[in-house]
Amino acid sequence: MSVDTIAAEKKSLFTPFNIIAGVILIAGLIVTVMRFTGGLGAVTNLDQNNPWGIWIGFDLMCGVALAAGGYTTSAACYVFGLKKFHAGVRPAILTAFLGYALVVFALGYDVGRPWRLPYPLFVQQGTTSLLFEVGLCVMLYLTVLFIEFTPALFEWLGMKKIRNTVVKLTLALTIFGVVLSTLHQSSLGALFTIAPSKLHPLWYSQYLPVFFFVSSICAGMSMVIFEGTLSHKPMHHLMDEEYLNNHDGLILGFGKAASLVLFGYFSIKVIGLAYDNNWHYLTTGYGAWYLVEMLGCVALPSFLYAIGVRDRNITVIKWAAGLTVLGIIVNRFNISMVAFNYHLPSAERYFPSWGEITISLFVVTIGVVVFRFISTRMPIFYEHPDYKGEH
Amino acid sequence: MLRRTFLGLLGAAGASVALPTSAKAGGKSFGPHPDTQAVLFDATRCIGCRKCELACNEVNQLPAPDKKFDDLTVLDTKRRTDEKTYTVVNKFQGKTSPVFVKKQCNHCLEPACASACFVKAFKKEPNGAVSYDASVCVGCRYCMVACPFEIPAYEYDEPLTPRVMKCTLCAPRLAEGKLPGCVERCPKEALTFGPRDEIIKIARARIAAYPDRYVDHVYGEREMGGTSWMYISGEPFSEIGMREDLGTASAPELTAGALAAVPIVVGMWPVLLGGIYAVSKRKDKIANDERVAAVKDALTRAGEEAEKKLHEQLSKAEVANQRRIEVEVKKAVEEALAPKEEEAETGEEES
Amino acid sequence: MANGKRMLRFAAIMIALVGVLGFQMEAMGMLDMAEKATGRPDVIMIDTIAKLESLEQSAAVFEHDAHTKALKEQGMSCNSCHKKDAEGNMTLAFNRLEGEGQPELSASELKDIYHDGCISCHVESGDKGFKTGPMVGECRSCHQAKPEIVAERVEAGMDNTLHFIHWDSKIIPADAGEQTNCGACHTVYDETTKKAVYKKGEEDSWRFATVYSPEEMASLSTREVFHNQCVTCHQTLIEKKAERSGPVDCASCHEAKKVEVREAENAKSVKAMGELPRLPRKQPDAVLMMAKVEGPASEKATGMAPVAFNHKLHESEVDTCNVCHVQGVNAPMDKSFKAMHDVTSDMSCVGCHAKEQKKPECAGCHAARPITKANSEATCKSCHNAAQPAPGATKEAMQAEAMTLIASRPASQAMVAINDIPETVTIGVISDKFEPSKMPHRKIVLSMAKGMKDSPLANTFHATPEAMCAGCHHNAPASVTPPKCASCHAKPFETEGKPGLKAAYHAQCMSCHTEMKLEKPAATNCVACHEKKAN
Repeated sequence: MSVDTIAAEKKSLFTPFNIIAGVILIAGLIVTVMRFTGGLGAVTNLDQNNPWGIWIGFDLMCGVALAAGGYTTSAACYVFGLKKFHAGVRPAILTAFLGYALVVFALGYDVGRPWRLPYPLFVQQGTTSLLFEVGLCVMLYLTVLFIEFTPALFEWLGMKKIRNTVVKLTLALTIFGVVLSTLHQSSLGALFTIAPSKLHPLWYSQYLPVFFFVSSICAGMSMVIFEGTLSHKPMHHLMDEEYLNNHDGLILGFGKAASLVLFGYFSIKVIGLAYDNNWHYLTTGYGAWYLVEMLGCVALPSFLYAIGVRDRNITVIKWAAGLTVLGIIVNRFNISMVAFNYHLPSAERYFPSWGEITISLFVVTIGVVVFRFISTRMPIFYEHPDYKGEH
Repeated sequence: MLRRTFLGLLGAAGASVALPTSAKAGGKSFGPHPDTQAVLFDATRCIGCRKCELACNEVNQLPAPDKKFDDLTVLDTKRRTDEKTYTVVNKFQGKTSPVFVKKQCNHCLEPACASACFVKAFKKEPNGAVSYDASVCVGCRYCMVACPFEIPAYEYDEPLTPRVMKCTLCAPRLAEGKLPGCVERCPKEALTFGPRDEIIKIARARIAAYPDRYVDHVYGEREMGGTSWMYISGEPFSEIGMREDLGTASAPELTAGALAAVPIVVGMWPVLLGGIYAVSKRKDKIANDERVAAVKDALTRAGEEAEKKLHEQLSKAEVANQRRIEVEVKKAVEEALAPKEEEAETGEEES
Repeated sequence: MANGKRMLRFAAIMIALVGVLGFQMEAMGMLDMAEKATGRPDVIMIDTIAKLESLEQSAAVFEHDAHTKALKEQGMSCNSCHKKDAEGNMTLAFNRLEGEGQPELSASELKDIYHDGCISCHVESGDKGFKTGPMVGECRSCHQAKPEIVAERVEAGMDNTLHFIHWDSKIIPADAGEQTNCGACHTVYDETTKKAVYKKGEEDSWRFATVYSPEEMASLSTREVFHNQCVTCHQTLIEKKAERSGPVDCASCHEAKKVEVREAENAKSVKAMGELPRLPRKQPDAVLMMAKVEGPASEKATGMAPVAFNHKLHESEVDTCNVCHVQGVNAPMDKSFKAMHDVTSDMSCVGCHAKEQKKPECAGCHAARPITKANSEATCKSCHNAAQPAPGATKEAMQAEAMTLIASRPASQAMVAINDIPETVTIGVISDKFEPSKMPHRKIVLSMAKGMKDSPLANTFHATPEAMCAGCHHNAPASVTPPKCASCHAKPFETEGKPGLKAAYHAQCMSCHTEMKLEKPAATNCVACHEKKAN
């Protein structure tokens, strides 16, 4: 190779992405200092009526829902035996692992005394609390995800024996992961069942745990498609034959499943409306927004997914995936911030502050940067040559 | 080895979450602690003097407020409890004259905050108070989400030691046999302190003695499963800032269903998923076996066909061979006979 | 064709969206309408056919006063819609005569009467250039399923003042050979003669005794009875151009505001006269009320002491006789315990007195008394204090006895001697952050007495001079030297109903001030009653 090409290959650190990411990271560090010297009041718009804001609504609830791709993909591949999803497992697991790790990281900002986060597990267990269940299962699941991620790490580090031992655990970890995911995804919804007087009747239901769990399945599958789309171009050079060959098949497979599950989710939501006889709320302002969420972000993507699968149109499926991801975010936002405290006058309602938005962006940026770091060095999008065919 | 580890992990996880302490066991129910104390607030007696707020501030050594307690203009805006104020008095417009209502933690019999707290920082004490233990609190603020009366307040301006702040029912004073600060200070005895069942009887007696004065309802007797701070009023409760749509189910009852499902999921999901795995593996195996069998079958059949064909060809060849032999023999015989006939002819010519 | 499919898909989505939004807006619009219904007293919902068959259309909304006014402007009268009967009296059915001797009308005949009658008039008025009502084809303008204007009426009825206007009026002619004109209205259907007759001395409200036979009454409502008698008579007088007549429009009797105005004017006239003249119906001045006992009359005078009831006084204290004579003045009164003693009822003795005690002059002391004190053993004697009449005593004798007892009742409040009422009382037993309070005791007592001055109720029941003292110096025998508050009030929460001393002082004074609607001293103005201690 000539000197020119070598020079051309050595890319500058100051790419547009890196600059933006860098700015966000620096801003995040500044806000971090403000948070731990001035308290939550200095950085957030939280108040006595609105104790939870976007750090819970987005970082925790959307983060956990969208990281559901880990358990759905690995369940599809290892439990249901659908081999075509195999190439998508590692990226999904990495996304999920980083997602959950960042959830815990973001909690460190939101919670008053983050160093006491282990207290519910080791000091005094509040077992009547659904938050205890969320915490316990998230902790355990993070461990599971970490273990499921380590084969890639060990392959990179060349630690063959330990890598082989861990790989043997895959099925058990996958099943354990599905159990834990079911529990904590549903418990996040069940958190709000304790406050029926504060959540708008259209969103409140005793079925909230079921709604959250089912929507997390759709979220996971859609996020795998969405994230796969986003990373396709920048990571293309890393993707091996198996990945590229199965990419479309994976998208079609998840598209089919997502269409069905979204339809099922829509149906149980309608049944929930009928069960509580809440039809008259549909004619209010909140009702209009509810219809936008249900029709635009649940029914429509279900329909689009079905069309995409039937016509084998990958583009339509990708749009449907984006719409579903948006729908999940809208749903979690609605339950934690929009429909919550609906009875308060608008002067007492919550809107995120710049500090909160900065930290949320900060967390997401860290995730993207770490994902890029790991996937460009470790066998995520490709099979390590030493272990080809050994899965 | 791996299987046992897995089962052990499962058991530990299941056991640690399968401990709902206040879910209603089938058919059984329980009541409050027999020594539970309660407070009755009589809205027809309160004059809005704010001496209770002053007393609370002094007794709990809370910081001084922005406006002093004898400033009654604060009553013109609706206030709520905050991190420096355990109790507030609000003014409402009654039918003929203003009505004043004191607001503070209601010390529910089955508190939503205690049910919600994942480190058991809130506890319902035997004397009726719902106490808060700041030494374990993580600051997650789920208690603030859970409380239907919107009472717990948080020290958002404390960076490292923020606490949840709410009325303590003056538990230290109760331990000394004294009355709660607000109860003692009220010049109109709008607050009555005593055992909860006595307080309910007193409330009912007052309503019966003055039926024109009171709305016939003791607020807190059953709301959210019952509270230790109850209210009687001359105006409808919904017009004095108290929600009448909270229902009588306590908060723990609302989450008991979701919690009860946890052990079932822990027990059944591995069975289901393991089953699906086994079924899919079996399906693959059968598909594989079938493929192998099909190949074998095809091969044997091909072999048989080939043999048959060979046999046919061989017998055909045999027959063809025989024929040729016959033809050759016939030809040879004919050739052999032909010269004799020629000799005979030439012989006739010679003699 | 692929493009076509996409367009079809897009169109389907747009239709769905528009459908949802349209339903939304319509639903929200519908929600708004239901809340705006306004009320008028003259709204009549015409559903005559409902008695015969189930209605195809909703009842028609008819504003009577609006029509009377419009007709007046056009120079027309009631005759345009209301036919006159054989006696020349106006009937109240629309465009037809009903009742005896008239053919029964079928549903479609009734419908035609209304449609033809109403619409033809609308057409005529419209042709003449007046603002008019709906025409043919505008069915829903009258038959409104969810009317925006609904009937809002106060109950009308005769009260003593209105009645006086009638029985005192020269326009209503006096009966033959009498000074009074009761017979003009109070004729009653007599079963034996099957005719309407006037029985002097037995006049009663039309709610209980009407001119109609029982068969006719079966098909008439109270409303129809009153309208048939009052409105038609007023209309006749107007047509005869009498000096004054009563109203014929709905609002004058049934609209809250107009009724208030009329009552205020009447009250002024009554005040100018001094008091309302008594109805000349030979009512007793006093009655000896006895408990009703089952069984034969006993030989000895036993049982509950009777009550000497001042009937004359009470006549001027109520608006109509029906307040107490619930079934009419001719029917026997309900003599049950509840009828006389129910503290929540307006018609019982105890209940009406309890209502009087809610006035600010009285409520200061009386609001603090629990409801059980109204009918307690101690209070029976305040009414049941007449001597048992001799067995076989005549009604007149008993009335005379009652009269004597009533005359002996005090005409004004018995007062404690002024010098025995302390001028100021210094309350300093629990003085802590505040100086002792100097209470202007005599001033307060005298102002209370002033409030009782003109109340015969107070004068009668506050029998002794010390009775008034017991308003504040309660729960002990009434005395000029009552016990100190601290004798009974000590620590709080020992007995329900007996507050601690601090609350006893504050609640006693503050509740009286509140009930008597005194703005000064304000309950939250601590220093108005006791100065703050300097240190």
